[in-house]
Amino acid sequence: MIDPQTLSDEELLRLTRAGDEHAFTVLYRRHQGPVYRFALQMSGSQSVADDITQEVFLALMREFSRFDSSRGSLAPYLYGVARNQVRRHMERGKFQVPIHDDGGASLEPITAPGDPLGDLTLREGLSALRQAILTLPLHYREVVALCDLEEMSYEEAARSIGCAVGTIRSRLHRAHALLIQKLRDAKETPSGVSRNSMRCFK
Amino acid sequence: MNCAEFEACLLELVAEESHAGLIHTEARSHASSCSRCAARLAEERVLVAGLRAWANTAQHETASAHVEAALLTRFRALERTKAAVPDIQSPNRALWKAPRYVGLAASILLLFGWALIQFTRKTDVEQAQRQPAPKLSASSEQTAAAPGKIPSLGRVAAGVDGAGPQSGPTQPDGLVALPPPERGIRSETPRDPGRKPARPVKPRPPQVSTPVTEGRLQYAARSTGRTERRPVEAERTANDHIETEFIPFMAAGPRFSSEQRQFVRVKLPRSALQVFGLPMNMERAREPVQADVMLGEDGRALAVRFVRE
Repeated sequence: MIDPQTLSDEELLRLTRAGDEHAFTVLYRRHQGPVYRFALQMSGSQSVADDITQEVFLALMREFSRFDSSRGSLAPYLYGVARNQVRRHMERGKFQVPIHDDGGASLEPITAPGDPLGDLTLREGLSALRQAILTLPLHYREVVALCDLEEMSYEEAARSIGCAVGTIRSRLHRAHALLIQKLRDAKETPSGVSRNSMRCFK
Repeated sequence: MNCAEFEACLLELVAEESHAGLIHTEARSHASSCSRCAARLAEERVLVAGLRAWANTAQHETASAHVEAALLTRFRALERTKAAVPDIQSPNRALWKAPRYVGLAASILLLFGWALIQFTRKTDVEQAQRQPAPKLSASSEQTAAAPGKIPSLGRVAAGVDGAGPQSGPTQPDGLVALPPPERGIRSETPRDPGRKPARPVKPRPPQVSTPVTEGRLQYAARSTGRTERRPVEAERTANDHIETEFIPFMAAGPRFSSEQRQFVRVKLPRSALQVFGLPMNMERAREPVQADVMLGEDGRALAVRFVRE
């Protein structure tokens, strides 16, 4: 008996298509974490991230044939679907979602020598960083989520988003510059960022 | 390295992913000499450290358990739906999915159709050769109207040179107004005795269609039976003799079937096809079209058919 945990994504997909529920469960558990985190970092809301994760795997379940393994692995495909779902949520015009203020509750401080922005690795620093990311324009936010937070390579991110590698690189560079600027501004007005617990994401 | 080049490689520098050692070294030396770039490098380092810290804290975040439960419920429902819908057409689909079966069936059908056409043509030629040649004499200029004894005028007239127009048909009131013939009205005349005898042609009664007003006109394309020649396919298609059925004029009335008739080959403007409700090729609108006009005893035009040779 083959352990489904050892199977590749393509084999799990084939089994799932044939009606193997266990294969689908393994596939879901393998990929739901990154998809959920991406959705969370994009939306800032756990409930929205749950909805998006569910929609992504429902889409995969309904249309297995849309995934073409010759064009890349499953993870970038799922990120692409998640990205579309995030945009769809945004187009519905809600996006007055609460920002988590307890994001860095259990953080241990990490030393950052010569820190001009304050210690971002401390609890408050991380919270400010999180809020600053959520105020980035969408196309900057998604490259930060993919490349910095999910530690995806530029090539994989480009495949997920559907653009050139150079575009990813330049967006990431610009996103970092914006983040530094926002954090610098927030430091000058310490209560400026955390004062607004509701923020428009659009 | 200047500040712009430093900015360009800042991401790689901080991520320490750059494999270009020279650039790495140059960037570091530039940062040591440029206070602005040194500050930028320090900020970038702090930012990346913060992002990594956040990524580390968030790496164990997963979707709620109810998402998995909902997905599994949906998965089972989908599977039940699949099982409940019988795939009635699956055997046929499986058969026709195989392209070789489709190709084989198509080949067999084509071969059978080709053999059938060849057999039919051969039979027609043999029958035509067995029958004696029709006697064409001067008296045949006016042919009896008995059905079945009138030779195909399209064939008879085709081998006759234009001998000048016969007495022009005066069209009485009430007839469909035909455009005037352009040139060379050809009529049936006896063959020159010095010429080769006409090929035996299967006699064919004139086929008369229903009046135009009934709207049941049809093109009747018939092969001429020139099977002793075996030209290439394109040439044979070009030489095909096509003629419509006789289309009676409205005023022909009941005398149509009992009169003696004359047939006159004329050339009409192609727009005459439209007068009789036939399709017209607009690209060849300037070319005339040949027609056989059936004349009664008194010279009235009774019917017309269009011929392409």
